Amino acid sequence: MYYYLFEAQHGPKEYERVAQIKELLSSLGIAGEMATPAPGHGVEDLVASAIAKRYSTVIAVGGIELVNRVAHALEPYDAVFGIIPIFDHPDIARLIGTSDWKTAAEQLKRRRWRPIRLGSMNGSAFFVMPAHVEVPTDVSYEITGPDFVVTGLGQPITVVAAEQLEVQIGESGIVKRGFLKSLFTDATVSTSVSEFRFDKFDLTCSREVTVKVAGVPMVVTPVQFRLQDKELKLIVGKGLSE
Amino acid sequence: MPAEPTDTIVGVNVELKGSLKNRGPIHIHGTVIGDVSSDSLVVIGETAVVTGPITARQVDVQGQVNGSITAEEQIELQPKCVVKGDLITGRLSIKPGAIFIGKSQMPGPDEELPAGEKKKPRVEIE
Repeated sequence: MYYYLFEAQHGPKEYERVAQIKELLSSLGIAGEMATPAPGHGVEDLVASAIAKRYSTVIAVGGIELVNRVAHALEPYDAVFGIIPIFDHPDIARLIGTSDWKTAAEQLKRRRWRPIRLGSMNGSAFFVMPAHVEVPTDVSYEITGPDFVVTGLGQPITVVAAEQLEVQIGESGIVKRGFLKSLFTDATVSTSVSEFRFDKFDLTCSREVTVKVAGVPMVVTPVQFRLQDKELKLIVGKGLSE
Repeated sequence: MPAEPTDTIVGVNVELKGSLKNRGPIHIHGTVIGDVSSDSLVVIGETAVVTGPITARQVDVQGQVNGSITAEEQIELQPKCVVKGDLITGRLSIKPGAIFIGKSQMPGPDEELPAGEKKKPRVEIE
């Protein structure tokens, strides 16, 4: 029933954590097939293989880059998507309600899920993790939505795919509102930070700027940001599920 | 269940042109050229400059507004704010130091506000 896609481990801490996760999954009674991407057996191949074997739940065990790649690979299918972070990460907490690996593993057993939509950039690059654009100080940007245009100079821009595309301008890192509002009720936002929501928007800059997701360069400006129509079923904690 | 309305924030370093609408609160610290409307609260911060009409349930002005303001419940003009435009509201508060150039209209108890709510007129000028 559960197919686990583990990120390749690179250090003793990661090996130890993965061993702990496997032990916990066994004790919870939800251990399933486990695989690790390798040259010739990429994430897309492994996800397709899991679906062909009729696994109903595919779990990404790793960091935000793996989570983003598995989410994208799962989009054509109806399987339920789960996440176990190897280490804490606020962007994962935004998605599933926790960034603690033990809690995330326990959530898998309960299998509560909510629908999420992937964001797309120029129709080809997809993201479930926030997309980041570091606009240099000498570069101007323009965000054009259906109803209004926002312009500014040299600020970091973060885009989160949620019910709408949530845009934060002026502070790199996590978006404190939206889903995280419930997790960080004492979050304060300075007057230099802007927050908007769009169903779709275009981002242009006075010269090319790279858009990264989970630290990986995806596209360069100009970029058309859209929400995918198809929804993924993401396993989440109590309170975030429908 | 409908999603909880979320805040929209226009930061001090950005300029927005067009029609800014939100079910939830809107906080403006930068420049807006166009109309602003919310089903909830609009806060015009000290550094904000808004050129265009504002419509909301409540409006709190600390910065500059060049345009009319319509608020079903309440408009508060804070010290140091500058408002050039007409005000329509059920309850108006003008703090010392606020600059207001325009007309104010407060519908009586039997009159309907533009958004359809009946309010008892009340003015506070400190």
